[in-house]
Amino acid sequence: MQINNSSFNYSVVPHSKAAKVDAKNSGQSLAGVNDRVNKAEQALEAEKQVNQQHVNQQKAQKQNAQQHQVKEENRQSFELDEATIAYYESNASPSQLAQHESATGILTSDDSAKSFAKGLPKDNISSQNQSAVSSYQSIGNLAQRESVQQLLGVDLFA
Amino acid sequence: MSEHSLEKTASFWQKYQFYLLLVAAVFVRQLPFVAIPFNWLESYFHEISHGIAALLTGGSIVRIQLFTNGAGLCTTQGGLAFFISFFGYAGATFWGWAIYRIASAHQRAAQIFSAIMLLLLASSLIFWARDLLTIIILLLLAIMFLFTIKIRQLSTLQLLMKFFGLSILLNSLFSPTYLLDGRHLGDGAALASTTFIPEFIWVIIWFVLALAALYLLAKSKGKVS
Repeated sequence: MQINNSSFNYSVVPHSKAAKVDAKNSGQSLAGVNDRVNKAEQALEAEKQVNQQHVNQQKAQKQNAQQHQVKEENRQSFELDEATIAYYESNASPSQLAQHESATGILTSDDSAKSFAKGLPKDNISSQNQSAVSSYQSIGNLAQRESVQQLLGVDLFA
Repeated sequence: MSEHSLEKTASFWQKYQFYLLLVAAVFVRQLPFVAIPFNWLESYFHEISHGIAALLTGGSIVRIQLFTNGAGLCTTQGGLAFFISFFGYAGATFWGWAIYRIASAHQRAAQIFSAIMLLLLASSLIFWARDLLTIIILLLLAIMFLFTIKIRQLSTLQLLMKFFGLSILLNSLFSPTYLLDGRHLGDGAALASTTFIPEFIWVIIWFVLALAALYLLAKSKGKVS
């Protein structure tokens, strides 16, 4: 429900005017009338404050509802990711996985990492990281060479 | 010069030919550039001995590498590792002894043996040389043996082959001692790890084998044709 300040003011003002008209018609003293007007105005002020509180409460409720909706949306997207991971872990074949990806539009973790890596500019990779990767790969190559030598059974004689 | 003095010189040459050639081989080994081809020759016979041992024990030769400093590598597949390791130095000793003996047996035998050596070098070049340096070294050795075949005077060829044989023997006598450098590398180390017999024992065995071959050649010097 929407409440704006202009409609609220409109409803209060005619009520005070009606009170002043009643005082003139009854012929009572001016002081008594003033008292009654003051009391009416205080009553109106109190009513106005109550209405203001009500409007504030409604605003707060609206904000809470919006926040809740945002949280709900986030939670739903996270659940989708979990479902994909669960699907990935259930030993699905690559073709099945590809079908699942095309159906859901969600990439698996490896593909998303690859697409992320593709998007990275090469200049952003530091030389330290590059040397670390090359060192790691050289160790891998040595191990690979040793395993190939063992597989082939080649001997060296000097 | 009288006929008697000519006979005396010929008998002196025949009697001390082995020792004179041995001194010449020792001298040539000390020369800076002239010694290099003889080092290559010894290195080649060392590596081909590894390869032949691999072939004889059921393995195969993958490649042979020779280096300018006289070092070499033989890559084999299969075969008995003990025999392949042992016959590097022992094989070079055998080659040196055999070349000298065959050259001493007959002048024509020296020529035939020279042709066989050329064939072996050509086979090594075609089947087992994979790098440019090894190809160049093998080509130079092949050219050297080609020249020996072209020598018309068979007595000169015979003498040259004897010299080659003694050079190879001398190299195989001293080369094992280079293994005693504390690095535990090479054929001695390979045999030590296989047999648990220390490396220096294997070096002594190879040294004694080369000495025995020299002794046998020295003893048979009077029986040459």
